[in-house]
Amino acid sequence: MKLIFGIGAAALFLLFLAPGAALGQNVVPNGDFELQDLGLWEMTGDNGWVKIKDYDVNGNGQITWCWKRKPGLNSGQPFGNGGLKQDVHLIAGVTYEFNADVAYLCTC
Amino acid sequence: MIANDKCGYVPQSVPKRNHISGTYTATATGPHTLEFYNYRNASEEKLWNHIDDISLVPQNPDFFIEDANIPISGGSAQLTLDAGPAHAGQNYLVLASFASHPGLMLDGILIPLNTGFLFNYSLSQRNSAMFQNTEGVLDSQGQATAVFDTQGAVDPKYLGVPIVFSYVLLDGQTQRPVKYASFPGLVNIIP
Repeated sequence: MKLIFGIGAAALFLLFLAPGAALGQNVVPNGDFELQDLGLWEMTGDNGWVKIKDYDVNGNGQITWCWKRKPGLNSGQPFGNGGLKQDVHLIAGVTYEFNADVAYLCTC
Repeated sequence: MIANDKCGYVPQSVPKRNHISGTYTATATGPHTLEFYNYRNASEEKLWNHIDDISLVPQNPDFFIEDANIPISGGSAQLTLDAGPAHAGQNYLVLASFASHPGLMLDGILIPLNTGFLFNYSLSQRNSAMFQNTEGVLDSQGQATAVFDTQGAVDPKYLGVPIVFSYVLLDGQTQRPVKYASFPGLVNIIP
C-alpha cells in the first residue's frame, strides 16, 4: 500500500475535511524533523542535495527543523527526482487527514 | 496520489509557501508507505524544496495518545480514553500488543489487538508503574486517562515497532462480556 504526495509537479489536488471533525494522534514519527536528523525516514531517488535544516517553512516567523532538498543538480547534469518515505501503521476503515507545509526557495 | 503541489515560478530569495492536505481512508490494516516525491524540471535546477510538520491523524477517535513518540532512552505517553457520555460509569481496561491485525474477537466485539507476550503482560501488569490507571471506571463524560511508562530504556530491537493500545468496556458485575472496543492508538519507539 503506497500513499504518494507529489511536490513540484503540474497540478494541485486537495481534499478537505468535513468541518468539526475531531482528530487523533499523529501516526508519523519525526514528521516535524525535530529529532534534527532523518530519524525513521528513508531517502528515495537521487538525494545528493539533502539537509535537515532550520527554516521558517510555513511563514509564521518560527524557525524549526525541516527536510530540505535541491531537486536538480547543477547545470548540464541529469535531473534529480527523488524524495523521502516512511512506513506508517494504519487501520482499515479509518479515515486519516494528511497535512504538511512546503516552501520553495530559489538560490539562482 | 493524495496531494500534488506545484511551486511555479519562484523569484530569487523570496520563498513561496504552501500548505498541502488531503484525506485517505485505509483499506487494510498494517504498514503503509507514506512517500513524498519531488519531480524536477529543467527550470528548477537551483530551487530548494522544504517540507515540515508532516502529519497523518485519524478522524473522530475515541482514543488519543499524547507524546506518542517515546525515545529509546525511555519515557511515557498519556492515553486519553473518550468513549462519550453514553458510556459514563462503565468499567474499562486498556491493553497493548505489537500488532492490531487480525485482532481478537471476544464476545462478538473485534478488539484491534493480537494476543501474545505484550497483550498478556499489559493484562497481568494493569495499574502498575508501567501501565498506570489502565483499569478503572469512566467518569461522567465517559472519559479516563491512563499512562504508559517504559520505566527506563527500551530494548533497541523495538525501535520503529509500533506498540498498539486499545481499551475495552466491560460489564460492571461480571467483567464480561466485552461491550465496546476502542480504535487503536499507537506508541512509536524512536531513536
